[in-house]
Amino acid sequence: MTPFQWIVGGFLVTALVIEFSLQLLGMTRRRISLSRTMVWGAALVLVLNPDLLQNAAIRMRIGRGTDFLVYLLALSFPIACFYFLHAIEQQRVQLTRLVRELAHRNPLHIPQLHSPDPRPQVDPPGPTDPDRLAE
Amino acid sequence: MWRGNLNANFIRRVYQIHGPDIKLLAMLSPQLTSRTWVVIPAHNESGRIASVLADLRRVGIANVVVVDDGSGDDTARQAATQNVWVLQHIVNRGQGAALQTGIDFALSKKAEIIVTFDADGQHVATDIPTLLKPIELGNVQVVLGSRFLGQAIGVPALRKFILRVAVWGTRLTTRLPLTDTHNGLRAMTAAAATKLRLTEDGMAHASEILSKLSRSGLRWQEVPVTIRYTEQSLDKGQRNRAAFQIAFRMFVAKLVG
Repeated sequence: MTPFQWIVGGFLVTALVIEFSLQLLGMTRRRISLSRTMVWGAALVLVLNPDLLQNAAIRMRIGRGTDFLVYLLALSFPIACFYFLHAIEQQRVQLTRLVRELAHRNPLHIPQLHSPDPRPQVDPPGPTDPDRLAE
Repeated sequence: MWRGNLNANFIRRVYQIHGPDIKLLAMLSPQLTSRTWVVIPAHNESGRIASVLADLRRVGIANVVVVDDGSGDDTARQAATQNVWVLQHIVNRGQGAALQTGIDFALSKKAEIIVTFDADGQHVATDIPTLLKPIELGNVQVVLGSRFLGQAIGVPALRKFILRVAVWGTRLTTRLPLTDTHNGLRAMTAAAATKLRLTEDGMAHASEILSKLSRSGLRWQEVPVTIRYTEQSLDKGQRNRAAFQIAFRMFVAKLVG
């Protein structure tokens, strides 16, 4: 094993141990914790066996393992972007709905006996007015 | 028809009191004003909201709902003293969100016609009768104000250019032969307001309305209105870069909407 594998592998093993401990103590949501464990685990396997990625790349006629990784990242980046954008939009809609609901619950209206209507009172037109406009 | 409710005496007396400047006031019958609700989204407009509401009263508008969109000043209190309904957003959600809040409220009060009106004093209240007329005649369900058919007072050259480009872009995307876009002065029937429900919180709501209008099959019309740009309204109003933000929002809405 190379020094790089020792160092990075050590970090990843630590991350896995922390993740398992959190799961055992019930301090994290199971689904999120499982996805994180999968990421750390996959990274650990690839760090300890770099040939795995290389072999996969060769089988797919990509060439190098690094290129395979770049393609994977290029694919996952827009997926992650859309996911977060959608989540932000959902939150925006929910927040607006909440604010609107609160606004509707407490409408403010101070009826005034003497309305500040600056328009001088004019008799409204009635159907019995003799000089009604002919259409 | 509402025209049938007018009488010469009524018009003559209104003219005697108000003069020829507001001759269109005579066209607004009390029956019409009682069915019309004006929705005003307001954000930090304590200095202007009272005069805007007073102008609306002069035209005979009785039903007004002001939506205070998380103002830091006393806009809500200023409006509340003017005998109007005031709804308060506890945090700022944007003009589109405030408009929809007010429209929902007006619909709950059995409004038949809803007018949207800006709180910064850019619009002229006497344009409202012009706006309502095509709806009342039953010709259309949505009426849009157009500053380019009417008057745009004090509009800076760059703003005018951006608006022209926006009109061109809107025509291209919506296929509506518009002459103005992002004009806050509009009128619509209750049915149209239900159909054109806004989901955009910010300034992109104006594009959203037009986009939904083009797909809705609703009959619409533009009428000439006046927009007055003042130093204060330009200071506080939309920045020119807002055009890019609106375009980006519309793009995002298409992606995740």
